[in-house]
Order: sequence, then C-alpha cells, then structure tokens
Amino acid sequence: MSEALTMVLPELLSEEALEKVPRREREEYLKQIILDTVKRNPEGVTLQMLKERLKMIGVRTLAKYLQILSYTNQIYTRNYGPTIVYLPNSQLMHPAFERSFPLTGKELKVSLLKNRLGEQVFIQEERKDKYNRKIGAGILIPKEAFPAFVRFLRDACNAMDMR
Amino acid sequence: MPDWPYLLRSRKRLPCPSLFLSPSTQGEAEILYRAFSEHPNETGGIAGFVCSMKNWSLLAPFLSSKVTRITPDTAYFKQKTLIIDPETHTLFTGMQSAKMEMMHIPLDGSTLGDITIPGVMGPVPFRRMVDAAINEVQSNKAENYAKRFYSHINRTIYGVEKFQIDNDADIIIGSYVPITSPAVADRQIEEQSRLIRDSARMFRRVFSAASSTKELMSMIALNVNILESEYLDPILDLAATGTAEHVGLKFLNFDDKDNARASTVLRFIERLRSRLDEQDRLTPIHLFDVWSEFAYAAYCHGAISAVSRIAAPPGLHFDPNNPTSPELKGRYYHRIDMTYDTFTELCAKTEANDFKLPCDCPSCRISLTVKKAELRWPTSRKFHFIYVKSDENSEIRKVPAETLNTQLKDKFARSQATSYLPHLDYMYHYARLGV
Repeated sequence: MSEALTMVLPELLSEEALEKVPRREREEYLKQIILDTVKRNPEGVTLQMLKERLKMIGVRTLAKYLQILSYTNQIYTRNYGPTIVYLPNSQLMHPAFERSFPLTGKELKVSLLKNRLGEQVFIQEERKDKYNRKIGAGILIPKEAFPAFVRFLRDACNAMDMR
Repeated sequence: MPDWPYLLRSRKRLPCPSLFLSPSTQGEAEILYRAFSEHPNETGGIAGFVCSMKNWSLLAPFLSSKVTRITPDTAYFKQKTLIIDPETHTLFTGMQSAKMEMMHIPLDGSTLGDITIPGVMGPVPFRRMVDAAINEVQSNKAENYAKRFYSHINRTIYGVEKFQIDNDADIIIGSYVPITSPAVADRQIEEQSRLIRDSARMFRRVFSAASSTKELMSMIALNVNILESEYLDPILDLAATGTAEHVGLKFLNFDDKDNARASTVLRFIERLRSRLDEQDRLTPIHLFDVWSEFAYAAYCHGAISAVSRIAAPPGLHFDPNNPTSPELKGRYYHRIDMTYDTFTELCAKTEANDFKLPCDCPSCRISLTVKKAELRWPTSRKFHFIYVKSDENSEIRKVPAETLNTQLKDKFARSQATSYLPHLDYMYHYARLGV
C-alpha cells in the first residue's frame, strides 16, 4: 500500500463550492488545509505525499505554502537524505497557557507547545477581519530560555525609556 | 420550560422556547422595529426576526443594525436575534416569479443569477439555466431540477454565507435543497447531505473569524408526505449528523389542521430531539414557517423555537354598507379564542360588548373598540399580534417543563383552537437539555 494512503486528511470542500471562493480566501483556505494535514500526521509528511492526496492543489502551490508555513514557524522541517519531511510545530500543551495581546488590527498569541525539541513558547501574530483570520509570523523560544528572553525584553524596554 | 441558558456566540440569548417573527413587507418590518424599540416589556417573549434573503433589501432599512438612525437602536432591539433565510429551496419548489426574484439577490458584488456554471459551450450564468428549467415541459419536474441544478447548487454556498455574515445575521443558514417526493428522495437526500457538509466546511474554514461570533444552522426542507415513507430514517440521520449548532426544519405544503400529518411532524421532531440527546448535543431545533399555535404543541415534542408570519394573511371583507366592493382586510388574532377572526367575525363577537376589543395590549389600549381600530386596521392588528404572541411565549417560558402540555391543554381547551388538543397528550422529557 502506498505510504500516502495512510495519511490522515482533513475534510475538504467540494471543488464546485471552492471554485466560487475568491482568490485570496481560497489561498487562505488551501494554506489551512495543508497545515491541518501536517498537524493530523504528527509523524510528518513529504511534498510527494501531499501531492498525491491533495490533488486540487498544484505541486508548486504546495511547495510555496509549505515554505510559508515553515517560515511562520507553524511547521518545521527535517531532512532525511534528499527527502524533506514536514512536521507540525504545534501540539498545544494546555489551552490555559494560551494568552493573547491585542494590538491595533492584530493580536499576538502566546502559547506553550511541545514538539520534538521539547517545550516551546510560541509567539505568533494573528490578523482577523470580519470573515477570517490570517496567521502571520511567529517565533519559538525554548521554555527554559523564556524567562531570560522576558528579562531581555524588559531591559530593552528600560533602555528605550531612558532615552 | 427547561432552564435553557443558550448563549449564542453573538452574546445574544436564545430562550426556551423562542418565537421568531418573519416580516414579509416593509410595513411589517417597520411595525416590528417600532414594537421592539418602543415596547420592550411587551415584546420580551419574541426572540428575534427571520427575514428572507430575497426580501432583505426591502426590510434592511428598518431591521438592519447598520442603518444610521436619528434615534439609535435601543438595547432591547439589539438583543433580538437576526436570522436571514436564504430560501434556496424556492429554486426547486417555488413559484416562477419567486425563482426569478431569487436571481436578483445581490451576492458578493454580483447577483445569484450571475453565478457562472460550466456549460457545453462555455460558462453560462445561473439565471439562464433557471429560465430554461422554468420553460421546459417535462412530466417529472423534481427529477428534471435535480439533473439540472444539483451539480451546481453548492457554487452558491460562499455567496449565501457571505451575504448573511455581511448583514450581521446571528445564525447562518447554508444553501439547501428540498426533499419532496419518494421518487427522487435518494438523490435529494444525498445532495442535501453534501450541502450540509460543504456549508459547514465553508463556514468553519473560509469564514473562520465569523464562525467565532456566529453559529451555523443546517436546514432541512421537506414535504411531510416523505415522513410517511421509508425515507424517515435517512432524513433523521441527515438532520442529526453534521456539525451545525442548530437544526432548522421547514415543512412544505403542510397544513397543521390535518391531524394525521401534524402528528407525523410532531413524532419526527420528537425522534430527532431524542436522537440529538443520545449524542449529547444541545442542538436547538427550529421550525420554520409554522403557525405559532402549532409551535406551542411542537414545544412539547422537542422543538425549541419556531418562526411564524406576522398575523394571518388578509381575507376578503364584505362591507354591508357597500356590498359591491369587497376589500381585503386582515384577520385579528383573538387571544382568548386563539382564532384568526375576519373583521366581520370580530364585529359579531364583540357586538354584545359595544365592539370593545377583547385584549389589553398596547395597540388595543389605544383603539379600545373595533370601530376605532378599523381606521388603522392593518397596523393595529399586526402590533396586537406581536404583543399577544410575546405575552403567550413569556407565559410558556414560566411554566415548568414537565407540565407544559397540561397547561397548554387547559389554554387550548378554553379556546376555539381545539384541533391542537390531541397533540398535547405528550410531553418530551427535557431534563437532559436543562443540564
């Protein structure tokens, strides 16, 4: 049996319904589908596996979104020889650890995640309009380094105040 | 009734039971707005209003929260829940004029009729396909429509949902097709199931921000005769599955005075409610386009809310002083008899009492007598209807769930609406919903 067949896929919109979704929303939808697929397969997925199962997305589009997702730290990659495996970055430890800091037109979300590198504090930008939310850039800080990072920010803030 | 603290995501409350009113003209929308704004205490029993997507452009000047007014909307009005019904089933079962009206609904920069679908010679607008279907002479209309439209109807989902989100509806209804006859029921159920699935996915994924402040309703529109066929169980499955937070039921060609049919409908609601309870789902069941008195009986069988028209459609009135020119005069809801009396009937009923109106609502308090009310009859009877229905629903909410049917039985037995009595022998066990 092909490796791709064992992949868990999220529920997809039918092609006819998706056809009438404007381009920008469609892109956001496809990005979410790819992210969701990676999240549902914690052992990791490859571009080839995604290409075989998400047939409505072209391989170049897939590669582009995978790059965006890994740039925004929503997923991360591991290289096994020539193969790149995409792994989910966000196994939320507990919803209670989630905090959000509202800024004009966007929010900074702080959550505690666990991935293969251990527990991480994830700070991510989220923009929200009337219809949908758009995930922006994010940074990952190891949990044990987080207090030092906060101290660093405080020092930076104090330095700015002194000016 | 059960303690039902159902808080919608829009922070509005959905009390149990809830009666929604459905205005169909600008006049009714204005009456509804004024009643909600000027008499909050007397309209507290009405949960909100349901407008048809087709009529929304007419009704929005009165009912949309986006309209700038000299006097701002009162907090009471803002608390009312808004539902916009896309009524996509009229594309299949409605009158020719209704179908053509649907084509003019503004959707996402164009109209529903402008949505393009693939044709043999390239993309064609949806409007042209509807035209062709209307003009086609074929014996099996349902099958013809299924063949023509089913592969395209889910192209409307995005526009339909966006329309409702843009207009601040609190509960979003996806596109739906009617289930009309056993001959094509398999196909219709399959298509409806596909629409429910796609609507939910569109709402949660494409409108992810809207789905955190609004809820989704899956609507099932069906002919009652189908509930007496072998399709009952598949329809129950259809209504009970899915991820929508609400289930809406619309019974087409349904006369609630037909006791056998009414019992079938109530049994269906009851089975659906218990199916949802077995799954530990609080999903409220809403009945669309039913008489409010039937809704009271349905409250005893598991329905949480109902949508009713404002007052009854007008009937011909023959003025004895001018017998040659009959005029249309609306019916008046008699709160004691629970009947919709024509003007003549009301005059006959009140004659012995100097034509005094048998009601003390704010509208009847102004008019006092039938003769005075006649001067502003259309508005007077509609305001009266809203206040009386609100009052009845407020009363029902105070009744303990386990005795609702007996108390309603008392009320109906004292009235002339005795045709509903046979349906009040049963009371659904609401305990699980109260948790």
